[in-house]
Amino acid sequence: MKNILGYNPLSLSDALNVLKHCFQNSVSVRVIAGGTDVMAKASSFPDFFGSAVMNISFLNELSYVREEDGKIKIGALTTHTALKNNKILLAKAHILAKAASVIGSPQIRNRGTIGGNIINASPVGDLLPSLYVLNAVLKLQSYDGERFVPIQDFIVKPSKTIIDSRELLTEISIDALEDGEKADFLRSATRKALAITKASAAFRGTFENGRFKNVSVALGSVGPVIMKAVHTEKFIESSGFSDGFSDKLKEALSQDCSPITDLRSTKEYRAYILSVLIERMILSFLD
Amino acid sequence: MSEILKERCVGVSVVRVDAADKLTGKIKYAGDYYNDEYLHGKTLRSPYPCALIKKISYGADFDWSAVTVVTEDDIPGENVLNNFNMDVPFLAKNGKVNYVGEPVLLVAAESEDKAEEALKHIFIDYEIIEPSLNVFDSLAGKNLIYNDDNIIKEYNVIKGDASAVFENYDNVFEGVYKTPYQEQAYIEPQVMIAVPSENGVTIYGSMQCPYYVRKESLKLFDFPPENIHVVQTPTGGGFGGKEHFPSIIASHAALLAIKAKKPVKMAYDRVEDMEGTTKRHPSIIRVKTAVSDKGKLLAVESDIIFDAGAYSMASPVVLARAAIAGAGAYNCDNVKIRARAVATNLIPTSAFRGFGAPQIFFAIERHMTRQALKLGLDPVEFKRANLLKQGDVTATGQLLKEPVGLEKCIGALFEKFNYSSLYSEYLNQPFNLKKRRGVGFSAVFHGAGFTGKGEDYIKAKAGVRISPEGTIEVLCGTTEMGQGMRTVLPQIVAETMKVPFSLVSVAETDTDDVPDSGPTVASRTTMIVGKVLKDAASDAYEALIQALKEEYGENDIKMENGAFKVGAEKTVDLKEAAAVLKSQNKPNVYYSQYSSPPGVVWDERKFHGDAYAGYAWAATACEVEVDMETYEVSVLRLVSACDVGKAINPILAEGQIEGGCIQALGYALMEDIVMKNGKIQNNRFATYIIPTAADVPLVEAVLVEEPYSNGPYGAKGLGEMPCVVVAPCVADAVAMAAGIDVCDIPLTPEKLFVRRKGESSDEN
Repeated sequence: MKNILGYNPLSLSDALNVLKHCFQNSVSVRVIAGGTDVMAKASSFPDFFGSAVMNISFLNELSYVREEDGKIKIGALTTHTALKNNKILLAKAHILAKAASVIGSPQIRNRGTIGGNIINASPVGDLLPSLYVLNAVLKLQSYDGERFVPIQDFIVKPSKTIIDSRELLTEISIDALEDGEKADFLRSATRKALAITKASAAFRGTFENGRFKNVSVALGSVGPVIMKAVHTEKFIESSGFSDGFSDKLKEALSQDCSPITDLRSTKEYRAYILSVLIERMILSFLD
Repeated sequence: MSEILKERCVGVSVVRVDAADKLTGKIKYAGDYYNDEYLHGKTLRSPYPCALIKKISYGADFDWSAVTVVTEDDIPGENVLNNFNMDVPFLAKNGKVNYVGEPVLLVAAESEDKAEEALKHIFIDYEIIEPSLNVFDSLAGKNLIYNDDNIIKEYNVIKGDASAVFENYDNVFEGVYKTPYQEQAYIEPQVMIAVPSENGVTIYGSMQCPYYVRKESLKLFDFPPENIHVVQTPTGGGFGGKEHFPSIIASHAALLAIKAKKPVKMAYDRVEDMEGTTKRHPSIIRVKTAVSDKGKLLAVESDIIFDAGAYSMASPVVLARAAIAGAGAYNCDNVKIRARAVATNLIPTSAFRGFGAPQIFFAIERHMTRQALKLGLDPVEFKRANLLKQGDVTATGQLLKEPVGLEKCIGALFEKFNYSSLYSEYLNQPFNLKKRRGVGFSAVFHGAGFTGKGEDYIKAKAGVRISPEGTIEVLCGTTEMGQGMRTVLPQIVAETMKVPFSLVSVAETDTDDVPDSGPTVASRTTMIVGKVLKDAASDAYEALIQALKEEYGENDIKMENGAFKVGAEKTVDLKEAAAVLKSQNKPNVYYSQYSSPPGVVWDERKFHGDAYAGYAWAATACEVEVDMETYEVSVLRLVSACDVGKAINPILAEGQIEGGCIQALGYALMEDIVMKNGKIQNNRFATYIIPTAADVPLVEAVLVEEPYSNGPYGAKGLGEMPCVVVAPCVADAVAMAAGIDVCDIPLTPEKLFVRRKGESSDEN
């Protein structure tokens, strides 16, 4: 068994100091924030942990949801269970609570965190589409500073973000949905529970006088990263929802993403099901 | 517990004896055995589906002194297992590999990491041969894998003259049905530990059949038989996957242990287990039927092809069950069945709960429904009119002398499930509904025990031992693997000896102590071994009574409240009775042996006669809802009525039905193996999808008891049947709901989506 260093910091400043120490001593450190993705990856990639591990799962100071300056601020170590049950989210960003509620199993939701879901940077990550349409901005802290990065600039490819080895993701700031704003998150998955997503979509927009405006659509599991569906957004804003809506929606979606066939689904079904999910959301708003 | 079970024990839902230890995690599985002295064994496997091994070299920059390596050259005798068609090697034979994952050589080192490291320093030069990766290429002779035709086994079952009926009949209906691989997905992966001794070896591990494991070690090494013993550790599920395969892993561990002169543990992780061990046979089955104007089934022809993979394993016997059921559970005068197991350069397929029957019953049951619809008949009425009854003759020419429980099952089923009203309701539902529903029905049999003369060859032996403490031990070589054997067999013995259940337990499954009762397979443990034990328990009981008669000179002796009442006054408990036996120098162990009921005739060559001494029967109905936009299927209700002869332990019997139905729902709706160039792609539970509790309905089990004359208290085999009956029933319901004529499983949304697009002109 290979020996690796383990750190269990008890405060955020301790954690940042560990990162500083590791940086200065050229030690690569893997941060665990719940561990539900990390443990699965570690079994596939023997060197995944590098030479040190820092478990921040128990930094309670990073577990919170609060309203501040018109935004909702979420601590990076807030678990999926906490997100799913949070009253502020249920009232003002319910799509994030809904996304959290479909992740894994109760055991995984009790351990997995929003920060871990973001850093894992999987195109399948169930929180991500909602975070994209809620314009999530990530707070990255290091021992000598902090910076704020929009989520779409943060995740660059599968499993790859721009985080620096000295930094921790500490807080996620998202929009609070305004009164009357329509939003939803739907996904298609391999089974009814403990399932990985085949395709997912988060939708946000305002419906006035028979038209949508300010539409934002993000797609999961149909590209290397979460895809912002700009053609689809424009099409929905221009549509009168009359005959041929489904076909035109499919056409717009085909310009926004090109799903692949893998072990979970086929590219044809993925393209099809995305249009079903989005149409379902829109129809429910029109009702 | 004795207070519950003073009088009766059979038919009572005794709490299973291993429940508490398993629920609390107290029970120790083989993986929990750990010892600093253990070496850890690993297997180097073929990356190619077919290749010649040109050269094996060992990295010079690696310290080999602390690593034991076993190659084909270290195998003392012939490099072939004693079982099957004598074609399965322990390690790749004659420098050739025939499937991806085939074991080539073995290493053992002081840690798993060290052993893995050693594997990385072994280099093999292969010369790749063009493989045959499907049965049609194999039948066309693309690559010769087995004999000169790639046919591992072929059976032909003929009754009457089906060809003549088809020739003279215009209304012939034909269909082709396909079923996928299925992975056993037992929760405990395979683990074996071999401990060498002076001129012998002891093997501990997760297994269904300790005497199979022992037989291979006997063949492999030239040790005195008494120096080889096998101990089954608590086993976390088998489903057929631990019938034969543990013999291979145990042999590997033993080869390493004997060479290293140290104990060797071989523990497969999930990926190695899924990539390296046997699965259910995929099948392609063509069915042809002719039906009279009055709805009578006149002729059935089935052409059954199983993909056996690179070696025979249990394919011949798995195929036998499919061939025997080639006309389903139907009474038909003209039957022609051809069944072939075909070799391919793919993972060998072998035993899996149902053993060839799930494939053929999917094809036949689905075909009979489609045939009925084609003729404008109600599928259930059509099926019921043609099902086998007592006095009918099966496809193999067996006269069904025992009662056939099918009509009873169907009656009990439809009491719970209002099939006909749901059927007419859903027949008339508008096609443009966003969610549409359908119902399905299927009926099957399952022959318990080995096929044909199998049980006569096995001659299962089992016994009871009266201990000096006044307890009864059940001595049998069959195993507990989650099905409840350690509870059910003592129930049979306690009932027979009229003693409290709490006094009876099963001895540790150690080949040094227990006899060979045959393998724990084929739904045979309760029916066959239970019968042997009932006979043994009767003998033991009679011996005790006789001893007490002699001891006390009293003829009026009977068992009452767990003790012998001798005459009017005296009471003798079991401990005292055991002492009496001993004082009279009488044996305290009573064995019995299985013999087939009289009149059983089987011609293996013609595949004709009494295929099974007793049959269990089942009828199942389900209701499903299909989301017509996403093509996702929800099973809303599933009721399965099973004629089990006698439910020795009703809750455990219901548990077998529920579990089997759920395993079959996975088969029907989601499970499949994805291959790429012969390599399994979905090799873990993240990608090999099985149902969760959220994916299945509450399965309603209905126990029907039509006793079997030669079973203990009338009991028949049950364990496999629920896995046989469900898939066609679900497929019928999905086809009805979605208006898509499905002939293959699993019924994934992706598949229904494609069919829907392709068949939109035929809808309803």
